[in-house]
Amino acid sequence: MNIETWFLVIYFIAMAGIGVWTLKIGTKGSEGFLLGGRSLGPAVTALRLQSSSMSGYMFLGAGSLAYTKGYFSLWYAMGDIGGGVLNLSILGRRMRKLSQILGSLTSIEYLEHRYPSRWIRAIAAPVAVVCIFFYVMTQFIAGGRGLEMVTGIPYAWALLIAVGVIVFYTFLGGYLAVAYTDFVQAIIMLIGMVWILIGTLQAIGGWTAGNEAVGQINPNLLTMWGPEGIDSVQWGVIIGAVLVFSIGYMGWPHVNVSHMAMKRPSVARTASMYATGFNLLFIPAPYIVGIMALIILPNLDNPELAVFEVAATVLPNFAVGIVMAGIMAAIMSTADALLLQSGTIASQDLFQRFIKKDMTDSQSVWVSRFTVLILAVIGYWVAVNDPPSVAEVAIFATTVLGAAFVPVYVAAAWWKKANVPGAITSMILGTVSSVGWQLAGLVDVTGVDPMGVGIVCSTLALIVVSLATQKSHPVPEHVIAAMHETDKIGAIPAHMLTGQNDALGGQVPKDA
Amino acid sequence: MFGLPTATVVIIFGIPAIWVIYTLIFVYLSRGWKAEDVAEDQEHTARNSRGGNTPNGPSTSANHERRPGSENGGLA
Repeated sequence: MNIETWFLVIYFIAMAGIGVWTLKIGTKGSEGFLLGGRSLGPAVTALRLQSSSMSGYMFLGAGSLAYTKGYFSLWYAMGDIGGGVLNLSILGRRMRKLSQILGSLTSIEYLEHRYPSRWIRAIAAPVAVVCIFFYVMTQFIAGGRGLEMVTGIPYAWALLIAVGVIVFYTFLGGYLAVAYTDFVQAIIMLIGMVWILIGTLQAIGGWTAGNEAVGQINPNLLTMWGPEGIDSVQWGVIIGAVLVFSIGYMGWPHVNVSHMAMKRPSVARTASMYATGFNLLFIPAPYIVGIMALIILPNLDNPELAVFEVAATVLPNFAVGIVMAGIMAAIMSTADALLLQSGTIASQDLFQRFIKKDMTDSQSVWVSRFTVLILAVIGYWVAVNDPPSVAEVAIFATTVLGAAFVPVYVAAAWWKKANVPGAITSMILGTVSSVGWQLAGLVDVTGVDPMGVGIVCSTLALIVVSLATQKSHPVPEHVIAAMHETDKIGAIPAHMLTGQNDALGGQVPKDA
Repeated sequence: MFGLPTATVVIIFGIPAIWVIYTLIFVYLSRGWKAEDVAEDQEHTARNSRGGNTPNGPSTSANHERRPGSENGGLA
């Protein structure tokens, strides 16, 4: 084995060790497994929130966008930098508190408790599973590509190993394990990426010299308007690029679960500083490296490998091993967080909710494992036969999740008139409009991004339908009471905790 | 500056600066949230003294019946 492979093995073992350790220290029961006993502090909350949503895309997708579009690609980074603080400031405290009052353990279950109807979960769960699967697939591809580079193993076998390790991580299980490994990986990703950036800037003689060299290839690459120049700029696409990773985050069920797992509602406040600090250091780096790859590796066959190839070129051998292995481990174990969410949604939000309510623990475990395995097999098959563009798939999945869920999550915490018909219409219209816009090829025709279209449709639908159906479908009093309590700064009174209060205890729909 | 057009420099430094300002304003405006921690601690202490069922500390919800072992998607 070469030095990179050794480092990779050490990282895998270390991450597995963290998984086993958290299983020992973690609390038992549903809340312990799914939310880590709601015990996470600000640093873990913030970095878990960031790393669970960006590693595969950042190392392949961002570099690829930058290599092909120059500084135009930084529009995505501009939104992304504020995604964490926006999410934490708007949803963090309220979602943590409301989910505790409502007794919700998954982010999809939270929606059903806030909008009490089985149709909420019946619609939200499949949309979330499909989109998260697409995102998992980008991690598979990133893991396979990276492992191929690090070890020299052919892509198909490297992908198989990557998927196998990811599934193994998932089987270690538990939100606490996922949160702590994500936290460590976020730090590893940050160190690795900054190391690559510094090596890149040294290799090209500094940022200014690099920009001047890029300008000689095509001056438009230095502008924010794209390689074709300002005449071809599509403002709708730029607005969508900023929105997709800023407000789009608030629609990700696997990210929003971070709020529910916070130790206290006030954790969101400190976590926001960690999130912004991490994003400022980490997010621009792969884009800058991708742009500078145009000088270092001008004839790159696959732009998605820009960051990896630059790292291998500019870093000393020992550093390549450390950095690449760390990045690979981070990519693979980020995927386990996503797979865990898919398994949870399948067993908790679909199977147990609609098919077999008296499911035993053992049966629930097997439903999750079966779901994870099925997704892994399908993901492997697609990724090995016809691997799609990581950037395109990641942006598409984020767009649909954002369009479908941002209004319902935000209104769930803030707008007391948001009701079941409004939420159902919003999720359906958000999904259909964003997917339809993309598939119909209307982006090129209109210059408007599907994120913008989807978010406008879903927001308007939520407002208009909720207001129009207030009399026929009023928001239940126990939900209003829970929201009033969430408005207040203070401890949740004991009688508000579900199970100790008959009115709140009856909130979970029993009419499945 | 940095070999980049002025508009590029303004955008790639200006927008992150806006996010930093947003973060600082949020942190300032939410300074009162600490009171919630104190109140929650007091509630937790009172609940414990009454023999309340809070096995996981102050942030435990009681909607879901606790069952031993892993469940609901548990893969451990």
